[in-house]
Amino acid sequence: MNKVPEQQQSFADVIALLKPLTDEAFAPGAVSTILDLARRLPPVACGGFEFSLTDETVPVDLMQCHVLDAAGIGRLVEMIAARPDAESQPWSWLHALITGDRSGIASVWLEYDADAPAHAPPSIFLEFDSLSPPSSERVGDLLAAMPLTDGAAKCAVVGALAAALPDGAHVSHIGAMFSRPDTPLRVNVKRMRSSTLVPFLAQIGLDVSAEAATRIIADAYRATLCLDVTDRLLPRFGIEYLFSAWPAREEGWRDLADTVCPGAVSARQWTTLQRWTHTLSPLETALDWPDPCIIDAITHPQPVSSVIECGPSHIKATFTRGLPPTLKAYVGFRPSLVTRSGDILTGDALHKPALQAAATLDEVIDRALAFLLRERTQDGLWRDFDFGSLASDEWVSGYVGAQLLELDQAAAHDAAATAWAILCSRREPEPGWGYHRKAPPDADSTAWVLILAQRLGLGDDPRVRANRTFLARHLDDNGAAVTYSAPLLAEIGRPLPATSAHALWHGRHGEVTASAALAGLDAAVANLLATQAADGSWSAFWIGSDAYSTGLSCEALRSRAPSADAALHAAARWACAQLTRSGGGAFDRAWLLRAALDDRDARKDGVLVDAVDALARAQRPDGSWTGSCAMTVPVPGADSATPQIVDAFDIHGSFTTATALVALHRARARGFVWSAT
Amino acid sequence: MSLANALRFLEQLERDSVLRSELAQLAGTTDLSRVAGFASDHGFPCVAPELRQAWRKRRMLQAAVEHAARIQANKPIA
Repeated sequence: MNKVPEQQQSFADVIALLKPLTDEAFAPGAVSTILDLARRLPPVACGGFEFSLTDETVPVDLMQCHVLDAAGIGRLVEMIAARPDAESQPWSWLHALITGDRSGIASVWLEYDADAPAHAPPSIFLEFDSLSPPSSERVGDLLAAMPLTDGAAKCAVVGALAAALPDGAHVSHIGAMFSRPDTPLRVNVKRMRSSTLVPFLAQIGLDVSAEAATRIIADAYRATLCLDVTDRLLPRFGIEYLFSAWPAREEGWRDLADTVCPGAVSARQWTTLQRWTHTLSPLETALDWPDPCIIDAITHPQPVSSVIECGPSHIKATFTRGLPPTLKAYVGFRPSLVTRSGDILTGDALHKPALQAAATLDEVIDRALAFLLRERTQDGLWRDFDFGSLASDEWVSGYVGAQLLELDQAAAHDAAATAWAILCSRREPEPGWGYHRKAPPDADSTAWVLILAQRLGLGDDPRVRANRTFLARHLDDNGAAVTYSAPLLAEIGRPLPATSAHALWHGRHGEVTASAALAGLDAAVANLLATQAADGSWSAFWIGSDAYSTGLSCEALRSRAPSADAALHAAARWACAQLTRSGGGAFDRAWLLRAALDDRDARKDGVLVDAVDALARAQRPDGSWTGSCAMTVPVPGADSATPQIVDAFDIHGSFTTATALVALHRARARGFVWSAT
Repeated sequence: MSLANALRFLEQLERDSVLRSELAQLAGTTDLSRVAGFASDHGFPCVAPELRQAWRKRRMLQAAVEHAARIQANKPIA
C-alpha cells in the first residue's frame, strides 16, 4: 500500500466544507480551535458541535460519530492504528471492544472539549441499539472492561442506577471522559416517563429540583436523562430533548428552553440553532469531497449521489444542586447517499443491505403495531402533523389509540390505556381536548379521545360523560357538528382569532359529525343519514379527500344505526369505484377499504384484493406507511379577506399507519390472505 | 498515473458489479490511496488526487445529464 501523507484528509477537511455554516454560527476563534482538534481525526463526515445557548463566550466542542457497521469498524480500527499512542489507553481498550464483542453497540462517539489539553484523549461514548437496548449485565460487563479510574466504585454506582430504572426505561449511552484524571462517566437513559422521574431521582438519592425536567419529558418528542458518575453519583443531571420538526418550525424547542432559563437564551446562539439546516452537495463546493463519502458512493451497489445533511440535533438542560440551570445546543452533520429514485440512505443504512419488506399479512400487521408502539413519546402519546409550529398530541393520540383498540393484543391495549391516562390528566377544569394541549378544545379531538375511552370500556366514567355533554353542545339542531364552537370557546375564555380563515374553523364539518356519531351522539348519526351525497360519499373539510369522511361515517352508522344498510351499501359502492382509480395515498386507500370490506357484496377478489395488495406493498420496512393524511387548514393570507389553504401531513406516518393497520387487520379477519410473492 | 485512468476506472466501476463488490471489501477505509491502489492493480494506474478529481468530474457530468433529462421531460410536445 502506497501511503502519501500529504494526500490524507482529516476531519478538518470535513469542517472546512461546512464553512458557510460555521462562519455564520460561531466566532472565528472558536472555529480555529475546532480545526486544530479535527486534524487529529479521520475524514468521517459524521459528527456535530456543542455550544452554550446562554453564554456566547463558552468554547464550542466537537464530536465525531463512527457507526459500527463493517465499514465504520474498519475506519475506526484504521484511525487507532495510525495513532502514535495506539497502544495506550483508552485506544487499546476501544480497539479491543470494536474488534471483539461489540454486540448491541450501534455507534461510537468521540467528543473533544475545546479547552482540553493538547493531545488529551477524547471522551468516548458508546451508543446502544435503540431496538435492542442492553441488559444491566451487559452494561456492567462493558464498564468493567473500560480503563476507568475507580472502576469498581463506578460499576457499583451504575449498577445501582440500572437496578432502580423504572419499567420501560433503558440505558441508551455510556461514556467516559478520558481527558480528566478521574475519568467521570456519563450514563444516558431513554424512555423515562415524566411521572417516574422524581421517584427515580429520589430512589438514587439525587436531591435536585426536577420541575422543569419533568415538563421537558412530558412535552418533548424525545427526551434523554443524563447522569454523571465519578466514584459516586454527582449532584446534577441533564435532560436532552428534541422535537420532530426543526426549531424554526416547532415552538416547543424554545418554550422548554425558556422554561429552564427564563430570559437567558442568547438571540445569536438561538439563531445558530435555527439556521443550522443545509444539504451540502459536492457540486456546490470547490473543496475536496471527503474520501469516505466518495468510497461509500463508488462501492454502493446502486448508482447514488453523496451529500452531507446538516441539521439541529437536540438541546441539553443541566440541573445542578445549588446552581442555576444551563442550556447547551447540539447541531450535527452526517453523510447520506441519494438513490436515483430519491431514497435517502444514512446512518447504518449506508453499508448494509436494506431491510426487506414484510412478506405476509401477519408480518405487515405485526410490524405496523411495533412501529406505532415505538413511535410514542417517552410518556406514551403520539405526536404528528407539521402545522402551525405545533405537532398535534391530543387529537392524534385519541385517534391512534382508538385505532389500536381494534386489535386484540395486550401491547396495543396497554398503549391505548396509557394514552388515555395522560389525556385524562390534562385540561381540567377546561372541558374537552384539542389539537395540542395549548390549543383550544374542539369537537373532533374531543370525539376521538371519547372514542378511545369508550373502547377502553370507560363509557360511564364521569369525565367521559361530562365531555360527551360538551361534545354534544357542538351539534346544531340538525345534528351537524361544528369543529370549534364560538359560544363555547367564549364561555371558557379561549376564542379563536377574528379572521376570515378562523371563521371557517367554526363551520359544520362532515368528518367531525362522523366522529361525534362514532363517539355515541345519536343526533350526529341522524345527520349522517340525512347528508349522504347521491354518489354514496360524505364530504370532508379538514382532510384532503372524502375517503376519510365516508369511511368514518360508515363505521359510525355500522355501530350506531342498524337500519342504515342502504346507506352503507351505497358508500361501499362509491368506495370500490374510488379504489379502481389510480393514485391516492395509503391513508385514503385504507379508509376506502374499510368502507367497502363489510358490504354485503364484498368479495375476496377484484378491487378489494388489489387494495389489500397495494396497501401491504406500500408499507415501509420499518412498519410505517408514508404519512399521506393531508390536513388542509385555512389560515390568514396576505389579504385578510382571503384565507390561504395550508396542507399539513402526518410527517411521522402515525395517523396513516394506524389507519392502514386497522384496514389490514379487518381484511385478515374477513379471510383475506396476502403474501409478497 | 493519470486522470484519464481514474475516469476510466470509475466508468468501469459503474458498469461492472463484480468489480464494485470486490472494491466494497475496501469500504472500511478512509484512505483513498488504497482505492487508487486497487484501481492500479486492475489496470487503471492513478493516485488519490486524480481519483478525487475524476469522481468530481463524473459527478458534475451526471448532474448535467440529470438536469438535461429533467428539462427534456418538462418540454411541451410541439
